[in-house]
This record gives sequence, C-alpha cells and structure tokens, in this order.
Amino acid sequence: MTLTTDRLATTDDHELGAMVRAGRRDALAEAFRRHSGSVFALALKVARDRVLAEEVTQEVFVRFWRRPDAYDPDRGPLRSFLLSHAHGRTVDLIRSEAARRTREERDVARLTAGSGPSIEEEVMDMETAGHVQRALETLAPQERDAIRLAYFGGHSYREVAALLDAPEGTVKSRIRSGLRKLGAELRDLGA
Amino acid sequence: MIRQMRHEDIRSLLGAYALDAVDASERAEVEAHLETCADCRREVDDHLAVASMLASADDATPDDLWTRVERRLDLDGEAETAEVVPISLLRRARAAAIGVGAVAALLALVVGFQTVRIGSLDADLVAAEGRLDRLEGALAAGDYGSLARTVSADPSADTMLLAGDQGIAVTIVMLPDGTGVLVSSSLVPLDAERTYQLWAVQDGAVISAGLLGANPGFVPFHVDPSRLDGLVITAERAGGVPVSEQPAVAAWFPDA
Repeated sequence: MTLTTDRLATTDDHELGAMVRAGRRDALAEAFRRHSGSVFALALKVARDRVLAEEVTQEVFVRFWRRPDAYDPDRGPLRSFLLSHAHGRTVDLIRSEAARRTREERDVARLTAGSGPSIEEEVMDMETAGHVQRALETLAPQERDAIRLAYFGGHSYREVAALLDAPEGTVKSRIRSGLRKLGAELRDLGA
Repeated sequence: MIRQMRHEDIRSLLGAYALDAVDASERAEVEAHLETCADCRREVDDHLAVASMLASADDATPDDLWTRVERRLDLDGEAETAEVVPISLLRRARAAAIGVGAVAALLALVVGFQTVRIGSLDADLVAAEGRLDRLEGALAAGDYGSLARTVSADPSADTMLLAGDQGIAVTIVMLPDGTGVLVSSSLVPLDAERTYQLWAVQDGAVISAGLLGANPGFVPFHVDPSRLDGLVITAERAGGVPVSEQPAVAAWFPDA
C-alpha cells in the first residue's frame, strides 16, 4: 500500500475528500485503509461471495477516485457514502433473475425454518454492536424482518412483501418507520 | 394538492430507497425529487447513516486488493492515452451524423467498416460454446465466484477498458479464445424497457456480441478474437436490436 503519513492518518473527511479531488492518490490510499474493511464486509455479507465482494470493493474506491465530487461531506461521513455505494452496487450485481431465484429459495427456507442469522447477529462490530442491538430491540419484529431482508438480503421492498406475505405499502412503511426509530434510538444512545 | 400527494408518495419510498430496495424507475423518481427537496434529502441522509451503522462489521480485505485498485487506476491512465483518438473520433462523427445516428453507420463513417446483420455466427463461436455453457451455467446458478474465477484466474486473459463520456468505464476480461466476461462497469442503470448491448467490430463488420441487461453485472459473451477490431456498448430497447441506431456509450479499440 502507498505510504500513509501520520498527517494523512489524522485528516478529516472534508480534507480527505478535497485531497482526492486534487488527485492525491495517497489520500485515496488513506480512505482505503480506513474504510475498505467495512466496505468489503458489507459487500460480502450481502453478496455472500468473496470474488464479488472484492470486485465491489475495488469498484467503490475506483469510482471515488474518478468521481470524487459525488461525495458531499456536508451530507454525511465518507464511510456512510462509501458503504451506500458498496451496497447499491452489490445489490445491482446480485439482482439478476437467476440469482434472485436462488436467494429467494434460500430466504424462504430460512424464514420457514426460523433459522438463519437474525439482524442482531448480522451486526458484529463490537464498538457499536451494543448500541445497535439495543436500538434494534425497540423495533417491531416485522420492522426488523423487513429491514434485514432489504438491506442484508438485497431484496426490493416488493420482493420483501412477497417473502413476508405482506402488502407492499405496509413493507415500505415498516422499512421507513424502522429506520426512523433506529435513528432516534441511536441518537439517544449517543452512538 | 397533486404536488403534495406526489411528495408524500415519494416520502413513503425514502426508507426503501436508502436500502436500495426500490426499482430503477422509482430510484430515478426519488433522485429527481431529492434534487429539489431538502427535507427528503435530510431524511435519506439519516437513513443512510443508520444503514451504515447496521453494516458496522469490519472484515480483513484481501492483501492484494489495494494493489488491484491501483492497477485499475493505472489502466485508466493508459486508456486516456490509448483510446483518446478513437473515442474522440466517435464523438465528432456522432455530432456530424445527427439524424442518421446509427453506431454501426458511425463506425462505418469513421473507420470505413461495412455493417452486417446479427446472425453471422462463425465456427469459432460454436467451438467455444462448451466453455460459454459452463460460464452461463455458473451465471444461471448465481455462482459469480466460479464465473469470474474461470476467466479472471486465467493467466492468458486480457483486460480491456471500454471508456465513454463522463467517466463511464467498463472492464472486460477476455480469454485468448474470445470468451469474455464483463466484470465491472460504471454504466448508469437503465429502466426496465431498455438494455445495454455489446457490439464487436470485426473484419469490417459490427456484430452484436450480446445483451448486457439494464444494469450489467457479470455478463459472459463470445467474440472471434483473431478478428477483433473493437468493442462498443450502446443502450437499446429491451430485447436488443440487430443493427444499432444509437450512439456509443463506451468503446474500446486496440492501439491504433
């Protein structure tokens, strides 16, 4: 990896973004050092395929390099921006007809058997897992299921509705209300 | 009143949008709305922040991943020097051919090629069908790992970067026998009524090399490598067309 200086290691997102815009590859290397682990973990969790996750991770940072203006530091942290792109791209890649069939069969089997990782188990980072788990406990089970299937399962809300045998409008509401509750809880918990 | 309902319809989609759980047309509508609505933008940003906390697990990335990113950035640099000429020629020809507009015709104008219709599949393609079947089998099974590994792991495979306007880049990996896989792209997703289509320029002809879908992931295809003079991607109606009337979205040509 490109040498990371001490100064770069303490640079905030605003400045790091500006340096990438200025064509500083060492700044991109620093962004990669900080965030590639969570980008890769998310892509791997959603795609359940290492090669695909590696591909997505590369693409996220290559795109950040090519289109650094897409990141607006005033709208949120760099990590959130990179993860959002990683998630979108992973979902795009896995959402082919064939892959969807396979995943739906698998998720139906899981729902039926009541097994498979819960959303709490999907969240593993020790620092924030406690906060996130406490926040998740405040959600209705239907809200948790809808968010888990959409975010980690990579399903559209219509697919989630079919999987949960619930009306599409209800699923849309559950996802939105669940995310809003989580946001409020996490703010209260100081996460 | 109508405007208000529209706003509320979009609002109800914001959670699903933040989790990438909407379809392409809904995504486009939400994004158009976000351009003008600060309240909704704030809500989406909040949802994205929450989602990024759900994804808080960290995983060790493979050791060579940064090296691979750097290699791709270097490839960009090469593309800028190697492909500037044909791409700029295409753009100029596109401007000159408004009203005619066929990428096939453009290529004919630019490099003197003659267009032919789809269906001139040759013996090489048939010979490679076994391999393609295996790749397609992997694709049908949703086994992207196997698909990408088969081609990418082959030391004789070539990487080609198709470049287009506004930073569009499409990476294709191809074996010497002409079996290729689109492995990554920054193509903007199309709506369900349209598809990207790949064209091979070979021996003075522009031949469809297959449909890439509205939002290309890994897509296998085959071309005759001994006669490959270029690769071009266009956006077409769903189902594809035998002869394109669209401008090139991205293109690759070997060193002129």
